[in-house]
Amino acid sequence: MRLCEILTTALMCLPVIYATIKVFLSFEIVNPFLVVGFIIIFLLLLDPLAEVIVPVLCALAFTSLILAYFGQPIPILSLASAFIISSSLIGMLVMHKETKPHTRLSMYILSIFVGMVLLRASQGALSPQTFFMRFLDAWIAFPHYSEKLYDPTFLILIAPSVIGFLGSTLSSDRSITSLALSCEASIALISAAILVLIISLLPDGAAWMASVISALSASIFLMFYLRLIR
Amino acid sequence: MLSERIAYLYQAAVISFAISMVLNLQPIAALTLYLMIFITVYTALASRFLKSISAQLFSSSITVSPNPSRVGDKIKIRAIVTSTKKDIPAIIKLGLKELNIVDGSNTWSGFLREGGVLLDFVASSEDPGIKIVGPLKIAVMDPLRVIVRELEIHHGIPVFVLETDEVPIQPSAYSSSAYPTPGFSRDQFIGIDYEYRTSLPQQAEHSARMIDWRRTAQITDEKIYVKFYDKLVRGDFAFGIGSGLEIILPGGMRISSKIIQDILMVLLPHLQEGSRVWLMKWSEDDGFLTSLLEKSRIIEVTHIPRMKLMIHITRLTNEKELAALRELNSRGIAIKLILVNLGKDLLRIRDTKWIKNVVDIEKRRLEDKVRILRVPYIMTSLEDFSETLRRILAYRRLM
Repeated sequence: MRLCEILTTALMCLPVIYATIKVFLSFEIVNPFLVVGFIIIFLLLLDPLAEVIVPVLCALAFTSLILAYFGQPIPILSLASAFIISSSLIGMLVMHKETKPHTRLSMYILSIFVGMVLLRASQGALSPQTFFMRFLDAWIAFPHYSEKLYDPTFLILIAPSVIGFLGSTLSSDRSITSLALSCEASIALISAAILVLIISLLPDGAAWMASVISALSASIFLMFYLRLIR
Repeated sequence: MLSERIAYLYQAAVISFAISMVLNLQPIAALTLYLMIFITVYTALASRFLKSISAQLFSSSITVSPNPSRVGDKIKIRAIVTSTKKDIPAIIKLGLKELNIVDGSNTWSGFLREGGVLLDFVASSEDPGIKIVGPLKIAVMDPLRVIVRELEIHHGIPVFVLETDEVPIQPSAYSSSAYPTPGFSRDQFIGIDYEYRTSLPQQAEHSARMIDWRRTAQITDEKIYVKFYDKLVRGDFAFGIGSGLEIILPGGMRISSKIIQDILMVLLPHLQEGSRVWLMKWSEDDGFLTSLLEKSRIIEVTHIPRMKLMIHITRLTNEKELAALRELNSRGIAIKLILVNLGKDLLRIRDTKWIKNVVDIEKRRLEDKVRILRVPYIMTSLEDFSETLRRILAYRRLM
């Protein structure tokens, strides 16, 4: 992986990295199982180490299971919490290997969504015992989630993330350098950003309406324009 | 138009946007809206470049060797594309109809550079008939491969796949005599036609056949007049493949494939440069589907060409076909029918009374059908088909 490719991937992962850090900081006590479980999952992604890591992971899971059997549930809960917390970031990194843009987009959106759930779960102090319930609560509550409770930092980080996603999906070298070098792409990136920014500054109802109108106009314009130039 | 992957991306973005709007997931709604607007604006801006791309900017050639070839032969196919525009991302694909790739690839993708693009691969066919290599298409894209312009830069060429031990030599025609001797020359029928032009005094020794006896008798200048003919270089042949020929033979070959093969076997060794073969395949849904075969290319024709004669091979199993033939006849196209009676082939395998009855019934059925049409016809078995065709072409005999 080249440096610009790594930077693009890092840019894309910014919101979920932020959400992950926020969750970790919400834990009152960070125990070794939580940290090791989180790290070990990422090490699994590295092909040369996979053969070593799998037995370690199995041993860790087996140990925590035995401890749970003897009345110590915290290790297994910590390990499970670590896997859940890492899922959004893992989704982003696994996406790198996918070539179909629509699958990439689905994985990207899912990761962002998990990041949002994690952010919501991180409100207040956490412990391995409470994390599960808070995570499930945040997950279930999402469809009814109408108040503006999003972290502004998370929203801001989505902007460079989506540019990173476009760079890694559209360009052949999987970096934002092609986007930056193309005059048309730069204009499109800036104009789309300005439009979305204007819409986000509108009051709730107006923003909803403006979003729908913009999406419809863009689709209709694209449809007719493509027919016109054919 | 949008490239396939970006079209899918856009669809996924629209669906995600709709779901996030319903669930009020603002960050996801914002990012999907951003994607949609970006693609729209970028398409509008980047399409200006693709508007200037046309098929004239590319030159291409396709070579196929050997052609004609035999069933199962490894056919080497090579396509070369050169472009006056450089450093454009493009995908080049050479279509193959009824040919399987054995080695190599018929698709290329990358940036168009100096020296052009070479597609080199090997294909084969297990089924005889006319196969088509082509069309050669190029998809030119913008640098981000968001929008694509597809152009057809070569129609393609026919590949004749024959089920035979000996492949006929490369099509070429010759005339053994300096003057036409209708009914005697074995080659004069293919691709060459002669039209009487004038009669001039004899300059050298000529055969008695060429002497214009009437003029020599009328004009009393003691000169012998000989007939001169204009040689018509191009001769068009139209063959119709009718109904009831989609039956698969015990060897796995379709009857229609065998008929096409026989047509080619008779025609190819004598095909004159510039000669064309119209192949009109009849189907119940679409009527006549016409292809024009020339020596180096094949063209799908949307209309029925203007021609004088069509040799139609059929089993007349469909009433609509009769109506279609009648319509062709009413347009002034003379139709000669070759009726294939498969019962005769069955008789060769097993000579029983029951099969003889089948042959008679089939013969009567074909005769009844052709009587309605009132066109000249000949009835033949599948095995005798090629010989029948050879005779019809050689002597242009009415049946």
